[in-house]
Amino acid sequence: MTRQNLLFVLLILLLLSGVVYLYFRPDVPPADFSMVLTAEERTLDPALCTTLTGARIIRALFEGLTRLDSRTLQPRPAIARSWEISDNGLRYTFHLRPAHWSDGSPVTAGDFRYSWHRLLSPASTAEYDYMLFYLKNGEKYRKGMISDYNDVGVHAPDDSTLIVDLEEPTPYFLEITAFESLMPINRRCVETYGIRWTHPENMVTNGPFVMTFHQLNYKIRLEKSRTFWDTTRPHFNTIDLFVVEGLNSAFNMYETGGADLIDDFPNLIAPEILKRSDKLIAPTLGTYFYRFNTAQPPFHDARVRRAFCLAVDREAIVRHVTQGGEVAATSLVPPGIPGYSPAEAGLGFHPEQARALMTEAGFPAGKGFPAVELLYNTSENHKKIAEAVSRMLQKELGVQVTPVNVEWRVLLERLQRIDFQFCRSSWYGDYTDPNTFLDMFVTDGGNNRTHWSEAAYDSLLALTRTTTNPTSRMAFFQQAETLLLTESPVLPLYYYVTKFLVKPDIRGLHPNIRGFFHFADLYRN
Amino acid sequence: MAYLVRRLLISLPVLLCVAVFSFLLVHYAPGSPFTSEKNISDETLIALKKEYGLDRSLPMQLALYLRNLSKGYLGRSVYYKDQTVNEIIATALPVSAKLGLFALMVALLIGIPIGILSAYRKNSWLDHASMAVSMIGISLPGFVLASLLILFFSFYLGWLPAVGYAGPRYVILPALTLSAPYIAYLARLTRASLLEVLSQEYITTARAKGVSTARLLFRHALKNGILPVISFLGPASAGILTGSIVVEKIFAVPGLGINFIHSALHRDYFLAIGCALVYGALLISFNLLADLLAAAADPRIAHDRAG
Repeated sequence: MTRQNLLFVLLILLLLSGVVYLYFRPDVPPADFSMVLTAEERTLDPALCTTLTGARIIRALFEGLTRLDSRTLQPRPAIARSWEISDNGLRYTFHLRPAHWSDGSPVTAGDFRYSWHRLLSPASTAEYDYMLFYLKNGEKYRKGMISDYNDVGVHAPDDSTLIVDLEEPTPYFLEITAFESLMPINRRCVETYGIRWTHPENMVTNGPFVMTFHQLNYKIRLEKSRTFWDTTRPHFNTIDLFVVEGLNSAFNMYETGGADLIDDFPNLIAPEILKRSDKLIAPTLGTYFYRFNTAQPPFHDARVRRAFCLAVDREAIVRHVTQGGEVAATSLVPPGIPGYSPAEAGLGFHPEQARALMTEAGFPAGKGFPAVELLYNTSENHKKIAEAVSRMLQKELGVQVTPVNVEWRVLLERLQRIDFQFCRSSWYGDYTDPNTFLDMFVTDGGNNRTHWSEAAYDSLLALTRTTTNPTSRMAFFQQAETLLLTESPVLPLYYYVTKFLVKPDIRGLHPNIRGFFHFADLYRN
Repeated sequence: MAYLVRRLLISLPVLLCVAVFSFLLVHYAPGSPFTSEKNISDETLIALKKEYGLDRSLPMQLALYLRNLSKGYLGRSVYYKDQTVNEIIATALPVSAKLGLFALMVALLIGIPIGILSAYRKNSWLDHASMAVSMIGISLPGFVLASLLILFFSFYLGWLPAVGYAGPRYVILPALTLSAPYIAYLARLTRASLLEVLSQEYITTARAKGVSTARLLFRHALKNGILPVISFLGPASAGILTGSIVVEKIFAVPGLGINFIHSALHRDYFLAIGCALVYGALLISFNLLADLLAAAADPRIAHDRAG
């Protein structure tokens, strides 16, 4: 070999070793516990976060007045050590415990007042602003009808007392105070760093963990906070949250020992997974359903909508299409809310009844029924379901339903404009109360998106807001839901389930209807 | 030098066009970055539009964007609310670049020797075998190859991690997947161009003078035979960097590719434009680099340009 060629080879080797060197920087040792996130979080600002996964991370970093017990989902004291509720249910007086921010400064009632103002102020970009509309004048302040924040029902007479006045008695308000949007944030931190306040080098938190590393689409590292008030929690010193897109890759990571917990798995292998012992499948407070546009023919006719609802074999869909342990829906509100049994409105597979309704509506055997489009957003799962549903409708009612696939953002926009005939939707409850589902379909409600309007329904929902007796309140909800299902502006398909895969030695994860857990409760046996 | 300056000056208006076109494309795409499954109140929507400057007219928005761009500021990510586009690109691009560079080295180190060997043992079983394998390498889509590699190396042998980006061992499979088509392409390219050179008269002359085959190959033929390979390096580097999108997704590598897909899907206006600009700039610079390299290796090209 000549000298020139030798140089050439050497150069390549040199370059290669340089590249390899770049990779050989020592990575930090693995954390005590790791979980896969199937998407990067949009934000870790408690006021702005809207996802279930983001909420889990925020609960690890922050703590509100109350926190939900992951076993019972009942509110427990957190930063508020105790509270009193006035007889009329309108005034809550919270007594705060001595607690500290991760920078050592005390957590005060003023921090809550500030954080709630940040959520309600006119410049707030929070999507969950309505979580504070329970406060007296909260909505008016947000909408600019009043301008003095002192008129809003949140006051801090001293550092350890927070007085909250409500617009109406709200039986689940202590659950709302556990909600992530209402968690306190550190004023100095937010005002110093602006949008960068949630970056690990800046972030000041008051929860069981602090964030020490965050690289977008890669990893979040949580470490046990030294200033957290509860010395019995958390159990893990370090937690890694890896962002792995795509369920197949996430499953690969779990299966090869790269993670202790994943919260979803690919449908394709679901039948196999259901046989395994490391799965944790539990019904959850979420429903997969289709919306009808009730302002336009043919779905302006309730008989047609009801016929569609009765012609779909939901059991077949969960058994052969979704396959992941989902439960066929017979109502909009999923079962499992304490004190509430979902309405029994005969929602099942009744093709004979469905055909009779279609005939009544003037479409015997589907004759004269216009072609209808079923809108869904790009996903293998949605596609299979839409195809199965349209085949069933074709078979049972003789109607032509064409599944139409659009991008997620397009679907959202068309949902918002109610620019569809028949459209895929889903809803997860924000709190454990039927209201989080039924409130959607009041006349002109922001989440109604069907044009459906029914005075009787609206007044039933209004009654639930003024009734203080829990039993009659739930009865009103049930009547409302029965009405909703009979009128059928929606076609519920199935209830979602939480689909955890968790290594057998991990403890502290309890099946519940919210897929709810605290990272701080987890430990290894 | 004048040539370099000229090329760089031409690239500026090209990038400006990329910025303007991608700005208009993302803004005219159906769907808005602010729609959500849950209804967003009018107050929130107004505040969001104001915060991102989307409450102004489109020409005004474009003007503001270009003004920021001239200062090197690519705007705030609309989707990732806590990040600026500059920050996202600054963390993601080095990841893609490192992976790409590694993949390129792998492609060169494997592809060129295979090509030389095939040319050296032309029409032998070795030649046929390596050309057949490289044909597969070109035709096999990345996601198929990636799955096969994961199945074999992670599940079957358990040698390498299947997913993640936590250290050196993690980049081997992504780099192999990424480099496979380029290994194949480089092997075929090297072989073809060497064979062409080997059939030329000066080689025959050298051979007649009793030069050994190895010396003939390395000393005489490779010098000219490597030229097409060098000019291929520009598009190849750009291709590896921009083509890593699928590989990044399968192996969960936190590179720029994944951000590019997301920015489009989420209508993250500023991140989408930022990524398009970065990819545009990369393509331009790699092609320029390849031209310069080719000129350095072949004086005739440099001469043509000077004239």
